[in-house]
Amino acid sequence: MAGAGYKLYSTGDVLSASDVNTYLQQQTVMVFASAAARTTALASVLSEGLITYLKDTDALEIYSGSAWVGYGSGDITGVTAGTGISGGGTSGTVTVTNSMATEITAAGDIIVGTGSGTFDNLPIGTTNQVLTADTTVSPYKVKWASAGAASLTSQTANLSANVSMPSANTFYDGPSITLAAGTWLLIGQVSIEDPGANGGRNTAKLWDGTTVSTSVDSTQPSGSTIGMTMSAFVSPASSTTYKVSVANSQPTHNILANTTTNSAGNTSRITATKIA
Amino acid sequence: MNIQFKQPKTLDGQQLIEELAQAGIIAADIPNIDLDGNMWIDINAKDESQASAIIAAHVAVLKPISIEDKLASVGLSIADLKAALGL
Repeated sequence: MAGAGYKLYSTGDVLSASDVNTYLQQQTVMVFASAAARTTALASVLSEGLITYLKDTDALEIYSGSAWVGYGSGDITGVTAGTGISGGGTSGTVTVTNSMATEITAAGDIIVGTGSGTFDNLPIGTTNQVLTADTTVSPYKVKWASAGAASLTSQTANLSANVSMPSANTFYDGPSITLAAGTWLLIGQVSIEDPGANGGRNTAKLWDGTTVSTSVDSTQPSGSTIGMTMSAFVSPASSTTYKVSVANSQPTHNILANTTTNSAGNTSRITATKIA
Repeated sequence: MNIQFKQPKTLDGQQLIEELAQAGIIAADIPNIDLDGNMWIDINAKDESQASAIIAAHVAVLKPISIEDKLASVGLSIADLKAALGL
């Protein structure tokens, strides 16, 4: 029967019918006109491992022990290039190529979609340019362009009227500003007048009514007007009012809203610039 | 917490804070007067009543300007003065 394996014959050995059947006939490729002819011929000798070739279908088949099965043949009949690749074939060694990769011709090139299922090579821009969306640029809709200047939000609040500071060692509120949540650079300035020629020492603080962000001390020459400036970064979590408050160790001073000479305008104010 | 009080007729914030401290009331800072003229002091809420009485009785004593402040008001210090006098 098939599967007898290999037998080494020696000189003088008798070649029996069994040897012919099992070592020769049943272990060769038997050729039949059709499957029906094969069935008829092998009805009584079917065994696992038989190999046949059917002339009508050009099929090489093996008997598995229960059925005739194809001899190692796949069902792929060809490789066709789809979107984004090229090449393909129906026989032999088949090569497919990534079309996006071959579109790149130089360092820095990027592949940009130009439509549904289409793309093109966008060469690199110049140093420090950034990729920018621009729907007017055909067909890419993007372009390399110089980075624009950062857009910062700023607010200014001026003190609307002079604030009298009749009492010593008491903070008087000056300019104030209300900021939305974010991170801000605050710059506060106040001008302090000493109409009573009492001099003294000024303390100014920039705060939210509870937490002092920064403060500054300055001696007030008798009868003078001095300016005090301070700055701080603040990060309110919600809408918060910040203000500059000033105290002097002596009574009778003023926080000025406007300069008293030369009409230069506002002199006590808070400027806030949102940086994040 | 910041509590609003009626302003006394005369006020020295540092003197007032010291008067409060003598009664065991600790203020976080000297008084603050907002743009509406309201006076606020940051103290413990339980001390509000006692503080009100102390504030109402407060009379500011104007302290003479110190020598240091007088010199500072013209841009000088005691060291400058000593140096000028050869001391």
